[in-house]
Amino acid sequence: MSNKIYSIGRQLTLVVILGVALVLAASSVLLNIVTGTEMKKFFDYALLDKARALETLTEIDKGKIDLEFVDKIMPEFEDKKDPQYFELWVDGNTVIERSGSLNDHDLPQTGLQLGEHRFGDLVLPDGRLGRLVEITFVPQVEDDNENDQWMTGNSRIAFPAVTLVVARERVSLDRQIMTNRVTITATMSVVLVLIAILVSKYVKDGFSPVNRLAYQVQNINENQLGTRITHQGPQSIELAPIEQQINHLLDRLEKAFARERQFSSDVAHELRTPVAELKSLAEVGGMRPEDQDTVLAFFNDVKIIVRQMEKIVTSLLTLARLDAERGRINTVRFLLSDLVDSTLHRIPEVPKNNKFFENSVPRDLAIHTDKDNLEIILKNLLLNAIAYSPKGAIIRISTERYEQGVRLFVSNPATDLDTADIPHMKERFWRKDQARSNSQHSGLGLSLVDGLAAAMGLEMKLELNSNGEFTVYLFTLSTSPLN
Amino acid sequence: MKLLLVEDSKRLQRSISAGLRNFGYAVDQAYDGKQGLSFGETNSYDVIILDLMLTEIDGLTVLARLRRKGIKSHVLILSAKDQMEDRVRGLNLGADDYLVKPFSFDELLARIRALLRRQLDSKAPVVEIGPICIDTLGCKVSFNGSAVHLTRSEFILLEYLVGRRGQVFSHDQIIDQLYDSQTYVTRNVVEVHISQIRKKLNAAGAPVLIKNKRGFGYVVE
Repeated sequence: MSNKIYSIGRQLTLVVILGVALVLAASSVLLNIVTGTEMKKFFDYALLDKARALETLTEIDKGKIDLEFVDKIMPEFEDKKDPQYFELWVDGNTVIERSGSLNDHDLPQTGLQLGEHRFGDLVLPDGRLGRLVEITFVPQVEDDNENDQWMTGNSRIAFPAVTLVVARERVSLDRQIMTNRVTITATMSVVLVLIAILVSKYVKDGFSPVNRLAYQVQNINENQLGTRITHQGPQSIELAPIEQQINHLLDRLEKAFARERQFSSDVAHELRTPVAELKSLAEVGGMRPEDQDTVLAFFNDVKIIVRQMEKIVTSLLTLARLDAERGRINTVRFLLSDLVDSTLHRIPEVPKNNKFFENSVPRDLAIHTDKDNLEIILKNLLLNAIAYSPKGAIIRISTERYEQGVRLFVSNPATDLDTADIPHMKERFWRKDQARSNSQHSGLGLSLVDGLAAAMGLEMKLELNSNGEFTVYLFTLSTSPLN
Repeated sequence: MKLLLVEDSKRLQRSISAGLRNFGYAVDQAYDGKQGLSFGETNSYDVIILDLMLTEIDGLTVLARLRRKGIKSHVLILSAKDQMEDRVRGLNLGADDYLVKPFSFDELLARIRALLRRQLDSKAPVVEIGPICIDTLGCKVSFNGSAVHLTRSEFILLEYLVGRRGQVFSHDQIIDQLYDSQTYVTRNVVEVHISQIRKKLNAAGAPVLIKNKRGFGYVVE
């Protein structure tokens, strides 16, 4: 992939101007050709008209072909300055008449069929470039009786065909064509410049929302994630989805950054307090080594703190492993009820005081899943249920069949919870108690359960009913019949 | 000197209180905001060490309420919150100092001492009254360069009176300021300490430092 940076606006301007220039150039060439051809044709037909005029002046009078009153009607053939020329032949090579401007010079003739005409270029006797028209015709007979002499029955018996060549300079034509060509080219150039200016302006104006968007995006950094892309005036169809998508991503990014900051702050806080406790215990204990009772009590505190820190670090490591999708799942078949019993058994008696457990998981329900992970899940759910339920509470562990299969649930009365807490309960380090005074719990339990469940392909759902009973559902369990 | 420690971590309470008592300070302990506010409002403390994340009432509210009631005790916030905004908020609400957890006990002690010096006539840690020299940092007393050995309780009592020269303190005032609420102390204990201080200084050849204003109490002039 090329790293070359280019401007779409500039490229678009260039392409449009180039395209317009090509079109204008082609139009200019075409226009020049068409107008040149038309002017030449006009010039030629003017020459032909003159030749036809000479033709009407050519008569057969008393057996003689004559061209009358030319010098009077068409003095241009006699002019010394800028003269025109004609020459008249009979039977191809006998000159009957020629213009005075020719002196003794001849004009070229090719010998055409009767009624034909031909245009051509030539060098005039005065050395200028010229244009000629050659026509062949039968002169008109002045006297009707004389006409009869040439007729036998209904057709002529003799055919006195004459060839007339009329020529004139073509410098004026060439000049006119050149002037026309220059005018067209100049006009097209001016038009091209105007179009270039307009295209540049409109492309620049047209790209201003894109540039504004680029400027706004460029100015977004990790410290200004609250910034949102805005637009002035009506929103363009092309940019609206980009703006919306960027704003949507910024929303998510801002939340993710806030979560990360909160997470770091929570981790720091969770670890700061026990570290402060350890530091204080060590320093103060060191001041009074002779006070055995105090030092012993301090050591006891240190053990508890270390155990809690270990728990936090283990949970964080497990979460990090789950985040990196490195959680290994080892699926085995086992009886769910047995796992519930053994998990309950492993929970120390002290926290279980004044709480009652009801395991109604069917004894014969065998499931296929990661047993170790499910045990961690169950232990966390049970410890939470024990910690956050009132004295004398009944904690129920059971399964239920539903349309998609079997789900496991743990429920307990939770008088302190309200429905607004439910969406936050999976958040890492979330605790109902903002003071986080209970150092037994760090607020990682449910996020750990959620992460493990997801890794095992299970879904976790939290529910608080109107009676204040909090339930955690895990579904869908893969069941396996007993052999 | 009487201190109030408002901290919800019992382990931190235990170690800090033990450490401070080791240096002769009287420490009252409160485990939540409500208790801390109640103690702060009813007793007179030289320094209140206040955590921010407390149950019942949070630390900043406790601080604001104490200041609103005109409680002039120095307040040192002790918190795991290390953001600048948290410190600024705490100091703006009337705290005198802010210490972030984890902290060194020596630093906590130094800051408490610095706060205590603010209310004394002399800001220097070593106070000299004629040839008698009282080193509040090293907890030592000397006369003409020779050490006078005082017990911890005697030194605290002397330091308290020396720091407030010219002020007369009754037995009850001394008991109230130098002993925590859980310790039962009689007037006799104060008299015994005063007598011991006088005897030790006298033995070293020093003039009478603590005078008895009959019917009022004791004073260092």
